Amino acid sequence: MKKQSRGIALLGPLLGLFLALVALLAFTTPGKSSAAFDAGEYAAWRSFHNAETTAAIQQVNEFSPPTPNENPCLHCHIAGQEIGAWTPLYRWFSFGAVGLIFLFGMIRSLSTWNTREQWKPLKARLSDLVKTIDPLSKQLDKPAPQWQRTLWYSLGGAAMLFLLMQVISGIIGAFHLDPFIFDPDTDTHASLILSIKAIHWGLGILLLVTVLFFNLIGTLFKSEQRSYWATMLIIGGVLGIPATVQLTLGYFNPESTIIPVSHLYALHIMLISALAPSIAAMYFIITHKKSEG
Amino acid sequence: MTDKKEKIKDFFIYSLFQLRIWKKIYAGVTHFLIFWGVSIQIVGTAINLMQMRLFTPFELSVPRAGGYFFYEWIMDLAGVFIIVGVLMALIRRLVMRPKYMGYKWDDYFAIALLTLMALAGFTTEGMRLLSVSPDWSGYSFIGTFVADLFSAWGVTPDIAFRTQPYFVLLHVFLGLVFAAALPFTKMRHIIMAPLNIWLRPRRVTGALEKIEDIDEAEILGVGNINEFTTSELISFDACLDCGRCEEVCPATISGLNYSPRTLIQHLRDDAVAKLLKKNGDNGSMELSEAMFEEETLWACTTCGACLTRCPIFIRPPERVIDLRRYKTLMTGEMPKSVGDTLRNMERQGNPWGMPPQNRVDWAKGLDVKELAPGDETDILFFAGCAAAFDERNKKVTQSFVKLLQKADVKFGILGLDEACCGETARRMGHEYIFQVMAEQNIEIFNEINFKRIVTQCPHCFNTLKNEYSQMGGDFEVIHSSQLLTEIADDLALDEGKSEGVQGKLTYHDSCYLGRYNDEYNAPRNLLDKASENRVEMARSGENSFCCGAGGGGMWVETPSDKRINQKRLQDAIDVKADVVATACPYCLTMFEDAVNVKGLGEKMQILDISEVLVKKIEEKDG
Repeated sequence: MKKQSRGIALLGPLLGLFLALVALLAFTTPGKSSAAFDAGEYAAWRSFHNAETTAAIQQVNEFSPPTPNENPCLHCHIAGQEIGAWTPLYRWFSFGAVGLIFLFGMIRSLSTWNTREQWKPLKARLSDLVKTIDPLSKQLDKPAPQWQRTLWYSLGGAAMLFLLMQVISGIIGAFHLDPFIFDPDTDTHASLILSIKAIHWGLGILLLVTVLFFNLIGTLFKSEQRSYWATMLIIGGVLGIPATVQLTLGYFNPESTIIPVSHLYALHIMLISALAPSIAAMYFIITHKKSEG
Repeated sequence: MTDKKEKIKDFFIYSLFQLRIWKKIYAGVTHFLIFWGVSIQIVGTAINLMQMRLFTPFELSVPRAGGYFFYEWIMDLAGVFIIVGVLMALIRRLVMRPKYMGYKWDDYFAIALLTLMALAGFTTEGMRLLSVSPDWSGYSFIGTFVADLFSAWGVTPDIAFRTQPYFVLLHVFLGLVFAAALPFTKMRHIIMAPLNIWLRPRRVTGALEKIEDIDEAEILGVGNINEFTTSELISFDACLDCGRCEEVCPATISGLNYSPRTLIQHLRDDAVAKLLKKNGDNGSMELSEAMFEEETLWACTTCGACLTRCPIFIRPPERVIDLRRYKTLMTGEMPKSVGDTLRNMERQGNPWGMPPQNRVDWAKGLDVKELAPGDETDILFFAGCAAAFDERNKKVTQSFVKLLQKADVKFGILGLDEACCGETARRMGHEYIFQVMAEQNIEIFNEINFKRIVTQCPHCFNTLKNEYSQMGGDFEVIHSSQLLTEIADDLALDEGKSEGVQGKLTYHDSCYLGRYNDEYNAPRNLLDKASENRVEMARSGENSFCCGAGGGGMWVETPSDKRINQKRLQDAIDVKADVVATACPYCLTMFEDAVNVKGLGEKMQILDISEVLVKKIEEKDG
């Protein structure tokens, strides 16, 4: 069982990253043309971009690439600089992540050869840091009751399950994104989209509640903490930040043409994204203290 | 030249232009193509990123004219370099498959990644050119070729334009994988190798590191992985597993269970397992038992062949000595033959275990001056233990003295005051004996007024010249072959009708005279004066093959079918030599043993260069 949960814990983040990549490609495919793309929410988001980008998209659709002598360039001198909020973020995220991995590898080797002492894993370093700065130790230094074991083990797995379903339904929804369909009786396709959206929203609430519940109640087993952190990483890091930035830009833009429903959507994404790191930090401190006990 | 200047020079010669890699032409070309291909591509990509203003606050605007065309051309050429380079590397690993190379997963990973990166890059470029067809596309000659290829396959500009971003993403993805994998795969040598070249000890290769304050030192040798120094650990991490050291190692070639490549790789594995990763041994830093196996630890002859081949200056023999020091000084575990030799040195003052009072028996009847404190002389002849106690080598010493006397050289010996130089003890790891003997010799040297010390044994020569300075003894030391070269005219070797030694003569380079002290010409020049029929063995000069006696090998028991001297004798047999000349008493002994074992005593003569010269003089005189 332990091995199985480890497997899920490892597979989960990988699957999530893969799906996020697919989503990224789906959102950034040049030349994509569909009713949902042109008239839907994605098009509304695109209105945040400047005229140059819009012109570039139109050019893509009509296939009239810039001449070589006019080409300030992204992607090898063709489509023009992409200045949408998503692209720089993903660019910095991917290059930055690789840079961090590279730095980690080099620092780990060189510092170890230099000190000739055993490398202290990052987890242990973080743990030491928490011990140093933990402001809640007196309040939270309580042992975890025995009865939590079975129940919270199941709930840890549930969090991962909710996350996976959330990601999958989100990906499917992303390919059929249109918040303006309100008449499922007249359109089978619209009905399907609304069903997916309902599942996605419902799961999001369940996920939030589950995470909050863990936070309020207490602890998870160590093996399940991986699932928890994978959840938080994907929600907060991969999906949350770009979406939040994008929506925040639109939300505070006085010229925004976004309709109230999308305002509500933007608001909830923003709140969740703001809430998630706070919950994560509190939860980490609690579980850390409990596992110490 | 200051240390910093030397390091900077080293960086250009050995890190940037990788001079030592060219010692193997095929590998040199392969590495050249890959290194410069990737380097140019990295610089080009950086320019590209600045053009696109992706990460920089400024934009590097390059008009599509003039220099830009050269940029396009050179980038394509660099891509070709990579493709050809990885192809050559692949052929080497899959077809040529030299024995000495390591075959690990990350070798293939690096090749595959570089190949895919280059292919994805060219495909990206081809798609770009196909979609926009610029006037200057001819400068991107491979890109144009790929574009034409795709066009012939039916790819339209529209399709090329739409798919090009995905190839860009693939190319970027592969580049990022390359960067992220660098510290965790063999590709780390891109950083570690130059670092090792920069940090390597500047101590001459003939001098081992001294254990300071040996009486007080708590750590003697290395028994735990973290007792290696920082630069030594970096050298393990920098090792490319290229196997050049193994290819020339006499121990490996002779079938002994030692390879410098394996040693360094095992040390790296130990360092990674015990320092970088968690281990299940309660954090124990003790080196694996495999490091100390007798057949492995005592097989290295410290001949230095590996030192001349390593492209990044790793020093396996010194690590062997570190381990030997631990065994001899800390645990006392060593082969019986080694223990006996060290005991002889402690008790009798020489590895032969002969009574010390016999040390000057060789000089009886030669009228050699024994120097006393306060005496003055031009040359202090440090005879050494082999010359003093080995019957065969006594004759060599006597020949040398005859030559000195013929040339009227003002010289003297220390007589019974001479102690063993300590080289054998030091190479066996017993630093304490070495230091005691060195101090004893230095003390007596300081009491005599001489200009230079001459030794006939390259082991004594190297120790006195390169290692005694660590003990406070700075003297001018020369080898007998160098002194004989100076006095060659006085010996009148060119006069008369005598032919000297008869038959084909070949010279065997002593490791401690040649590789460690760069003296290859003096013995050859002398021999050429005494013989007109000198030939070179296939392995000679810097590439010479050890006789098997160095590093204490003279005293270590070796299985009869794995003896290094037999391999070396075969080199002489291969060139049909009638006479093998040496300039080292150890080499002489090893060759004579090999000749006797093979039953070639009647056919092949083993002589020291002094004996060759004396034969020339004596026959002429006679």
